[in-house]
Amino acid sequence: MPTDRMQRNVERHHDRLRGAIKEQLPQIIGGEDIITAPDGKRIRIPVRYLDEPRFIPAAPTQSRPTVQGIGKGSPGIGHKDPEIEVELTIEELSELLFDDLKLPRLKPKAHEDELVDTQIEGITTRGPRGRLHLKRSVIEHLKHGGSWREEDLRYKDVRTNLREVTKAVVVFVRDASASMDELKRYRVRAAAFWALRWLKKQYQNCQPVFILHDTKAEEVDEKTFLKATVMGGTMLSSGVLLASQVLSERFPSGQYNRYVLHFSDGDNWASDDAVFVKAVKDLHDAVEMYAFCQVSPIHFGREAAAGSLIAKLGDEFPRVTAGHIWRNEEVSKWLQQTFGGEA
Amino acid sequence: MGWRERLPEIRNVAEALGLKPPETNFWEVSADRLYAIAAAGLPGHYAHWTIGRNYEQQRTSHQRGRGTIYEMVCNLDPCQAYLLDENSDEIQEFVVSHVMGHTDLFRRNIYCQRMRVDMDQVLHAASLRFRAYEAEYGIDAVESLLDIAHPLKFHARFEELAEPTRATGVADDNYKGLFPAEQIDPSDIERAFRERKRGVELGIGETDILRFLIRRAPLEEWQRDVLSVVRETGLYFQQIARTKILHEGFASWTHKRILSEISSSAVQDAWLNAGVAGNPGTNTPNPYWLGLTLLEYLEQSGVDILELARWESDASLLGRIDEAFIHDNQILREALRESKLNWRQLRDHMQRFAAQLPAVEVRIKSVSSDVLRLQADVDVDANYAQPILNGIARLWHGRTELVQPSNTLLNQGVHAS
Repeated sequence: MPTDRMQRNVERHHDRLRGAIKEQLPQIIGGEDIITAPDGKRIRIPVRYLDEPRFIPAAPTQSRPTVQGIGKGSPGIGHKDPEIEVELTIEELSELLFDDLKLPRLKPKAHEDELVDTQIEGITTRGPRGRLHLKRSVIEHLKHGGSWREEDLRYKDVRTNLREVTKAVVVFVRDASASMDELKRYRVRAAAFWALRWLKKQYQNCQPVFILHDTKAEEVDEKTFLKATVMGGTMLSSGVLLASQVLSERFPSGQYNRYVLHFSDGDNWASDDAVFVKAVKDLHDAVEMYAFCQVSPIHFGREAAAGSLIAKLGDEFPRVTAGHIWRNEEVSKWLQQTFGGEA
Repeated sequence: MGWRERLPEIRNVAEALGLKPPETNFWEVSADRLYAIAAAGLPGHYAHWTIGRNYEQQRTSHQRGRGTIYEMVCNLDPCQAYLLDENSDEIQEFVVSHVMGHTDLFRRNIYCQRMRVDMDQVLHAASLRFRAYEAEYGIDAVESLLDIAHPLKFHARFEELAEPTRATGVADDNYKGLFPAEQIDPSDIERAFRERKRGVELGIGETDILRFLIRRAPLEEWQRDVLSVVRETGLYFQQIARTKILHEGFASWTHKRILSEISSSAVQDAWLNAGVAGNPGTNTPNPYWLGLTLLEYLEQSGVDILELARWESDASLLGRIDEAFIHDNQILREALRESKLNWRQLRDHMQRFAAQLPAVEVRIKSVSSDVLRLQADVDVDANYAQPILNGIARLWHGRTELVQPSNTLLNQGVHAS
């Protein structure tokens, strides 16, 4: 960890590198080390060495080609940019990433809520010593001029205000059938990680719900969601239906912005296709967004893949989107498409 | 026995070798602190992004096993030596011996003698003032001013422009009768003298661009202050840059001799020597390796190293490289073969590479109400020079041009024509 004073220099250096780091973001954010990193861990990113301007001779022209030919290992000759890696925290990274995501179509609903905001405000005659207001106490003391009395002391008061807070619930649904192998789970993990981070940034109070399904769905915790594989066939409808049930039971639409993110490799039992599409259509009016994300090597693959079923729903269902992730760097593209708005 | 207890012994050996290491404070510091000081060059340096960059770069090369910093010595009064606290006692003894070479050279070498030994205090006071400027004018304003000033800091010079003397020689010249055709009209001489005098007053011919701007550009007081501080750091650090190879070579030469006196474990010494003086296979010159090899070569041919260290800089030291030195040395021999240069060209190459001072000196050519002209004797890299020119124009509040042999570079952006 750099010292505090150095930290500022390091941050100013990063500011200069903003563009260079952003270019590499797609590669970086899909990386395993980031998602599994504990909070506060630093991610290393190779960058170009930023040179300061100087008066140096113009580059030699072609008439002196021999100089270029001097090989590695010879002291005193040749010039190579030093290698340099910067370290960013996940927080700094997400700031850069979300900066690029341009604000979305997600319009926070405002709700009167029980959530309150406390802050130091006003003066009171009683309180803990830590909140003693020296100046005001002295003024009280000077009013009578005698020796210090207990009732001279003034304290900063803490007031609580009811504030409008926006709440959101994100239901992460993952297909856990046997075909969802480690690599696919891994992409889901990356996408879910950043999606949740993004939504948390948008809403002060953002609650995730995790659902796994094969032919039947169940609610699980985050860890299980990302790790476990439930062996079995696939009925995508089961996940959608459980999500719908959880939402209507626990998260009334009047109080919550409701998001459903559904990750699958697109394979579904043929008999379930119609049920699945109907379930999605039914869900449409109840949520801000239903995003189906197909994690597969081929973009929507066969005609009957779930992704293309969703994509075919078309303009009638504007809150339903279909996306696709396969390669590492497609994670940020998916985030962009899903949360970046129509623009 | 801890390394601190052995300090007097090490000092005695150094003095027996003819060195006079000045008073030095030794500190054991964490790697983060050591790398922070090394990145800035001195403790208490004012903030700048390039220090953050240096820090991250050094840390990167450390993490990739391209070199650990064992110590950092600062030429101050007293000298300050920062040792990595992870070092074992044995390594610390070696590092201290190495440091004795550095500190001796600080007081011995004529270039190092020109460094302000209160520079840490200058910088500390400056960083407090700079913080006040940041509060008043904004961090960006201060940083962009530093960005303009830093490229010019190694152009800083102690020497002032020479005052012209009135040419009185004509009347006293005993031989003037011999060359009647060359009789010069005294009014011409007078005019030439006045012109030169006026030129000096205007700063024509000045190569210390910062000094020129500080004296003559329409700056606000805080800007003048910032430029003056940068100029002081330039004067300080350019002496280090000028003597880098000599410094590392001399310090390695010193620790080798001290260790052979105080340490019984020859194997350990060999290892330490390999770690510091070895060439880790990069294509930038390793000052330890080059400096030590060259000094030992010169010592063998009868040069008094202590005397050499007093008067020389990297440029003159590398100028002593001769054909035999290159042929005796496998790495240089290979460089010679691969580059197809002759040994003189190779030497000149190394000499040029060693000097980090302004590669191209630039001087004030003319000052008029509408344009400031600078002049360079060789063509400069336009990509590198353009931002400097734009910056000077901002401080000068007017058009600024750089006249070079093949063309003239104009400033862009603010105050462009």
